[in-house]
Amino acid sequence: MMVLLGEGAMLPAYRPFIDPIQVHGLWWLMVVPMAFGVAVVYKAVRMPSPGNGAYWLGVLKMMVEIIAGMALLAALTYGLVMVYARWVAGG
Amino acid sequence: MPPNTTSQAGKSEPFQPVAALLAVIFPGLGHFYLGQVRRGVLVTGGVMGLYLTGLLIGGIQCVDRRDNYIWFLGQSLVGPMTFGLDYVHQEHLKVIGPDARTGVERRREPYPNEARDPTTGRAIGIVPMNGVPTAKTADGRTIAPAYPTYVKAVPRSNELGTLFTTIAGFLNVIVVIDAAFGARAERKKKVVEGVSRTLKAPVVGGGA
Repeated sequence: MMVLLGEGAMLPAYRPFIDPIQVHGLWWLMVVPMAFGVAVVYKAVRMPSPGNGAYWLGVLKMMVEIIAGMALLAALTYGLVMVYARWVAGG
Repeated sequence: MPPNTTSQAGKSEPFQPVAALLAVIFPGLGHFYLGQVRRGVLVTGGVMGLYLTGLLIGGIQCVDRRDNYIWFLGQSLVGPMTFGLDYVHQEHLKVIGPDARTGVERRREPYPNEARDPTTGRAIGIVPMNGVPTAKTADGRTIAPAYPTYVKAVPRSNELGTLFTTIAGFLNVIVVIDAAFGARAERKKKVVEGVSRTLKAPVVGGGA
């Protein structure tokens, strides 16, 4: 199976771990697995008894905190650049 | 198990050099060595999950000590597997050829119309012949079908893949420190707490 990619270049079908996947439109969704991975490792190291119900609750809580924190930072940056900077520039 | 060492303050610290070394070699191995299987499984799953997800998203081009050196330093904290991956990337997937911008010959990613000469490692052009992508090597052999060894940067994928793999590396630093100092101390603390609870518990049916 071949795939055409610009200017007639022929490429073999997608090879996992060799070729990148197309996540251009959904890049922001990748924060979820990233936050999950960070929370799993951090809580595994910090909690006295990892793997039980309290651990997974802690993982979920930390995951939500990371995503909410990043969303807040994104909103603040957007406000700073798109609103405040424009206002200062007189636009 | 090796004997515990003593810190500068004279207080006994459960430093575990073997556990630390094992954690450096592979994420979670240090905790397995300390007998903390569940913690080890979660650590391995978390760090390797992030690392492999990064490779899945961005492809092998994310690990590149020549073109992405600073990020490679972070990725290398996952362990020797990063160096192995980079070796495969540099020696078996990259091609030697002129750079499109500078014209200088260097080891670089293959362009969409280039294959890799298996003997010299040089870039060779792909030409469609009867609908089949074909390339000729330096010694006159024909490769059909011929493809680039990998696809270079799909927007965002490279950044995300690099970020995931680097975060995995930094998380492994926490894991190594925990395996070296914290994990055993925590377990010891739990045992001490358990003993102290048992000693404080009222004696049932005892006394006069």
